[in-house]
Amino acid sequence: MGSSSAQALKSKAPAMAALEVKGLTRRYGARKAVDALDLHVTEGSVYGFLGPNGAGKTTAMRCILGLIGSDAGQVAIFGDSHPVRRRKHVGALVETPRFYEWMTGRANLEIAADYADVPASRVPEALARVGLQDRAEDKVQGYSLGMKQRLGIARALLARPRLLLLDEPTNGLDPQGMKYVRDLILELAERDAITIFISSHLLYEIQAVATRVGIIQQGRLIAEGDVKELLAGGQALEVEVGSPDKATLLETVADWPEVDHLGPGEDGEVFTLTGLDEAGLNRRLVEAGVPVSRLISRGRTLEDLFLALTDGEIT
Amino acid sequence: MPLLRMIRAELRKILTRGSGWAGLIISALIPLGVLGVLYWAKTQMGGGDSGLTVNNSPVSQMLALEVQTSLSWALTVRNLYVLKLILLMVTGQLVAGEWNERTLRSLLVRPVPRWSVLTAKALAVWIYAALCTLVTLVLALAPALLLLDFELEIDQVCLAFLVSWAADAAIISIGVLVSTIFPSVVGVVVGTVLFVMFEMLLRGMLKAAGFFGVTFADSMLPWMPGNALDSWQGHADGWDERALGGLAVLVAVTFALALFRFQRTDVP
Repeated sequence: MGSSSAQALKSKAPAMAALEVKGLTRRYGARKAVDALDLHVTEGSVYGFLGPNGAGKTTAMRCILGLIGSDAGQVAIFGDSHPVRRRKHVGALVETPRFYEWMTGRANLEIAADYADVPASRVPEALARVGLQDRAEDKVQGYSLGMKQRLGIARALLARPRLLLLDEPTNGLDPQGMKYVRDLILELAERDAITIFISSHLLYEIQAVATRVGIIQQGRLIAEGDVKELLAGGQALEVEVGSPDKATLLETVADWPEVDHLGPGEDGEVFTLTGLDEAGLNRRLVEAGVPVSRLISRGRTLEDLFLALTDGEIT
Repeated sequence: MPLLRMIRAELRKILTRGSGWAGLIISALIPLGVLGVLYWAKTQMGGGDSGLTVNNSPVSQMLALEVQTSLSWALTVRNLYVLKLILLMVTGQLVAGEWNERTLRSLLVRPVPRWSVLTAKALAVWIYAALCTLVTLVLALAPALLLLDFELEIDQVCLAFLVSWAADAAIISIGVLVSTIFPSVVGVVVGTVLFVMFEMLLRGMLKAAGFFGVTFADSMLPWMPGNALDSWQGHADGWDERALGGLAVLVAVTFALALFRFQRTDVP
């Protein structure tokens, strides 16, 4: 899918923004790592930030957090664009979190509490939130990667942020750890109403948690919108139809311009529908006297959309 | 006050590391070692009464076995390079080390200005250096008052400890500046030592030029950073106001340059 049709996928952005990025540009020499990036993250949403390797995701997140400078553009968090003040309501986990390894988990969070200017009494609460209260007095050098990731999330939660920026939070975790982090993200979004901005190369992870996504390629936003809308819109619906009379099925649909035969599927023939949904197809097949034994909608995944938009560039 | 809490956090990092403890232990061992040597000279050698001579001079004439000598020796030994190298290492660990290990990132995503992060780190090392100086002074002074002869002329030596701490602050400032250039602890130590050596070489060249009648070289010498770093020796040689002023300028300029670089550098 080309960029023009991708643009068509962009949905209308709601007014309330937890994070608003306009025209953000960052150059490394002649190369633009982030090129006039616009993002709109609505309050209360879980925003998935996707892009192939080197697309500019981490650079954009670092610009948003002020870790690196930008050449142009504006960043506002809950309406505040001041470079320091805007971080007041933000918790962040950028790539693999790093700690003072010789110190305990608790001491690490107490240092973070000093920098965040929040009472140290919040440390046990944050540790309990990620299930590390029993390992609080252990030195971080003995923590597993998953525990460090959870401690990183606890550190990000210390100041009770309204916006949580997570860069590849499940990177390197085992399936159990991934599920734990995924469930935690959903809980934070639903129970604590924290807006979550999450980048990940694991598309199924994003699809499982995100309500809205932005996809960037070569530093530019090529699609942004609600996950459901993006998956539903702009491209033909794919269905698999099973029939005991395969020849009649193929002969009948051959004359229908809304139906395009893609080939055999696992247990039937696969078609794409344009301007016609599954129920409509079923009705017309029955009316045409074609026996239908099964009709399954092959839902589009975020991966399908991502691959289509990025011309197959894999993260 | 966030800055005070940030300084506390940085001090906590210093005092929970081996290098932090090493500095304090060395600061304690120096005066105790010096005192031990002097006390041994007084008791075992009988001071001047033993008749022990070195190069045909009685020990009693060579050594004043009194508090001032203990303080002065302790001051001289602490200003040899071991403690300064430890201070540089601590500085490097707090700035360049955190840069390299990427723990700095978690501090900079907080709603605090960058200058305050670097200032908190520098102030923490300055406080740590003051603590080391205080340990040396107290452990040089208190037992010496009990064990050695006491002359009421120690105020200048005590002042020299203060100036010595200021010289440490200058070295730390140079270390902070180097930390914003080389993101490694080794780089900071080596970079600062190279700077000091280069400055010594430059001073030597200026002296040589002055010897050959270049008046400009002579007028430059008192303003060299090395003079400022050695200004603690004023308790014995007489205080040089230019050197003391140079110390303040050195701290201010190097730290301002460090802030300038830190403010504008991308953090990985």
